[in-house]
Amino acid sequence: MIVTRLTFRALLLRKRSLALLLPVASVLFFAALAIIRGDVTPDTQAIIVGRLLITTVTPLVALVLAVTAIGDERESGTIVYLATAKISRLRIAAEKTLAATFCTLLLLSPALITIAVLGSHLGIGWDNIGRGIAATILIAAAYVAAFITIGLLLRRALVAGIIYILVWEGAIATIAPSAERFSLTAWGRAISDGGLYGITTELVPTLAAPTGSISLLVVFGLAILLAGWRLGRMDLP
Amino acid sequence: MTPLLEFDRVSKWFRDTVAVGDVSFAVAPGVTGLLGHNGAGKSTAIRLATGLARPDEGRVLVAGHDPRRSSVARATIGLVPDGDGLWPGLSAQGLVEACARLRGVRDVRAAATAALAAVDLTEVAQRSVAGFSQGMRQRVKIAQALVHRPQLLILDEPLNGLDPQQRETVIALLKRLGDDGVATLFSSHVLSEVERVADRVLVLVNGRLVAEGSPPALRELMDERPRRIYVATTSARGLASAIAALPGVRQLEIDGDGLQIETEDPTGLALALPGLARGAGAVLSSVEQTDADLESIYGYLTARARGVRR
Repeated sequence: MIVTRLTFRALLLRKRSLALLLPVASVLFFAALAIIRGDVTPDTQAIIVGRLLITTVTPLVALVLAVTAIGDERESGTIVYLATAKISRLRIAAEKTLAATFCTLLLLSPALITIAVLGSHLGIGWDNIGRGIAATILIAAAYVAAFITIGLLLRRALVAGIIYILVWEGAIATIAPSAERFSLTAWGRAISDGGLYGITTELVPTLAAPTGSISLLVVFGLAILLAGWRLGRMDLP
Repeated sequence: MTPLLEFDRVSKWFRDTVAVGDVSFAVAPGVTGLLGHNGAGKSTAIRLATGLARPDEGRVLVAGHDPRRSSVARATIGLVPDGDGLWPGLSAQGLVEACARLRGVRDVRAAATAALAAVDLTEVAQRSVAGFSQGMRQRVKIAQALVHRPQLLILDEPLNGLDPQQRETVIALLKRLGDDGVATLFSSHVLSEVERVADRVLVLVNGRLVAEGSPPALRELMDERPRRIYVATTSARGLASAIAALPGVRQLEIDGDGLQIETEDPTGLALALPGLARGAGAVLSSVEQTDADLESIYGYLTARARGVRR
């Protein structure tokens, strides 16, 4: 797992990575605000987890770290040490995805602790809290894998990723009910929101939690395969 | 015997620019210099040799295998890239150990220690590479390339950024590796470096292989090219008209107290010169060839190949 270790270390040493704690802090801020105002309901939990953490913060953190995981190595030229090593390009892609996912989850950990505290305050039970955390982990992994692949396919992956998050996941997939079948966020929310007692129906995706989980895992696996294939085909600096 | 590196009619282009065009050569144990000016295609040739780039035509084989697909080929290669990038936050020892792990070395620590010793970095092995000078970083790059004891060592401009003492260390190391049977291919645009280290030289101009052979063999190319000769004399003007009439003289310039002559027949000039000087009442104080070094041969080859379109 040497590629994972090298990538993880490089990602954590970047100042850009620490700046990502800012969007993560927004989860803490809104959770604290809800508790102070005494406005903690299942809907509050659903909005903070489903709309803020899963729809906005996790994709943003995953995007920046995924693009950096490959982009920095290409820019600095250290990728040649990996590409000329004995390991396959598929393994390089898989290990980089793992490293960026671990790093994403590490940066998200204050938010995950917050939703656990919020859920406990609400008394929604540890199974529901666990669903929220599992959804975040799965969606983080799927987004990282997808964005690493996009980083290998497009030059301006960061811009493309932001447009995708804002336009598709943040707008179209939220407004158009039929689009949720093709939305990573909707799959994640299907896991986190599905079991919440007392949640209003318009916040709950129509997809079942197992469908959401399997879909995210399929995206994760296929994206790694595609990234490995692309890394094997492309010319490196 | 299978050559450790073989280019068979390899071409690589970027849009309509030919970076490497129809190049064939083989690299065997010993030191081979890849000589060319900036933009001649050296780095592209190295990327092709290490599997970092795919040829558009022809094939590249490392120990008989495709370096893009075969882990056997990749295990054969040690690469010192041209770029300065190293992973941040690692000591020299940590970085070379990481590269040893990437290449499946068993005793990672011992291999890294030996590789760092080979480039004289033992004393600073535990220091972070972030604070290293360019020369030290270059030596770390060489150490990581040696850590798995490769049969084929490929170095892209390895002497860049080194001070004279460090250059001597690296040159001695390359020679020693070549003597030990490691096939070493190193690129450079500095002729004197190549001449000192290499048993064999490949000359790339505009992506084409325009010459190959030992440095002495390249010197023999002088036989087929015009030579520049400087004659210091007391009567340059008087001697000039007589020399201009000699067969083979292509160009003649009066340069202060001397004559700068370009001729296709230097032997004829040497034989005729004493008689012509006597006839012109001139005294010859010196006669010397001004383009006898490899630099001049390279300049000649470059100029000759200038017509080659990219």
